[in-house]
Amino acid sequence: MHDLTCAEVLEHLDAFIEQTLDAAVLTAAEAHLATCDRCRSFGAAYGRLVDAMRVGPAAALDEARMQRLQRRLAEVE
Amino acid sequence: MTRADEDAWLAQAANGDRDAFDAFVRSTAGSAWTVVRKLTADEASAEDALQETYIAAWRGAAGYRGASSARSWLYGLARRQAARTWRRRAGEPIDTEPLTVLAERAGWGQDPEALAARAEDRTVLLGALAQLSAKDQEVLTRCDLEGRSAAEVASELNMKPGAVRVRLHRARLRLMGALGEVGHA
Repeated sequence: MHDLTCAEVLEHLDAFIEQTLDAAVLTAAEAHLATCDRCRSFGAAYGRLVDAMRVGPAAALDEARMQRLQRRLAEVE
Repeated sequence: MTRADEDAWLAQAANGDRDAFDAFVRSTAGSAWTVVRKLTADEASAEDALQETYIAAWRGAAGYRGASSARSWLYGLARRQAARTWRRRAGEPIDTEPLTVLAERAGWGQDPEALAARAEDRTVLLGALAQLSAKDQEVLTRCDLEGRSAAEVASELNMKPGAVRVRLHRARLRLMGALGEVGHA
C-alpha cells in the first residue's frame, strides 16, 4: 500500500471513524495520522462531531407528558 | 400490539375512528418521543413537535397509503415537525465539490477542534443543521442523530448503502463548516 496523501486520508475519514477500513488502508491511514498534525487534528474533530450527534439526550416518554399529549389531541377535531 | 395492529389502527383513524387513533397513539408515542427528542434542542420544543406530529397524523391519516409501515409514516411526520423548530436556509450543495474544499471550510488546517466542540451544544448543533440542504439534513438526521445504519437508511431513501455513506461523509463536513457560522451571522 502506498503512503496516503492528506486528500486520501480525508476521503477515508468516515470509514476510519466507523472502523470499517480494510487492514492495508487502515495501516496506511494510521501511518499518515502519526505524522500529519493537520489530519490528526481534523480526524479527532470529525470523530468528536459524530459522537456529539450520536450521544443524544435521554428520551423516555413519561406519564405526565403522555397525558398532556392526550389532552391536546382531545381538543382537535 | 404488533406493527400490523398499528397499520390497521391508522387506516381506521383515516375513517374517523377516534378509538383506533388513540390506540395508535398509545402504541407509538414512546418511540415518536425518542425521534423528536433527538432532533430538538430541548424538551419543550420536543413536546411541541410531538403534539404537532400526532395532530398532523390525525388530520392526515387518509394520506397513509400503506407503502411503508404506519410507524415509518409517523416518523416522517415527526422529523418534519422537529425540523420546524430549527431555522432553515435554502440551497442545495454542490455534490462534486472536492472534499478538501469542504474540509477547509470545516477548519482543516486551522482549528477544527473548536468547531467540533460547538457541536456538543445541542442548540448550536441543530442551528448548524438547519443551515444545510434538505438532502444533507435527511442523511445526518437518520444516520447520526437517530443512529441508524447506512443499509437501513439506504432502503428508506431508495439508495445504495455506499451512496448513503458518501452523502453522509460530505454532509458531516458541511455540518462542521456550518458550526462555524451559527451565531456569527
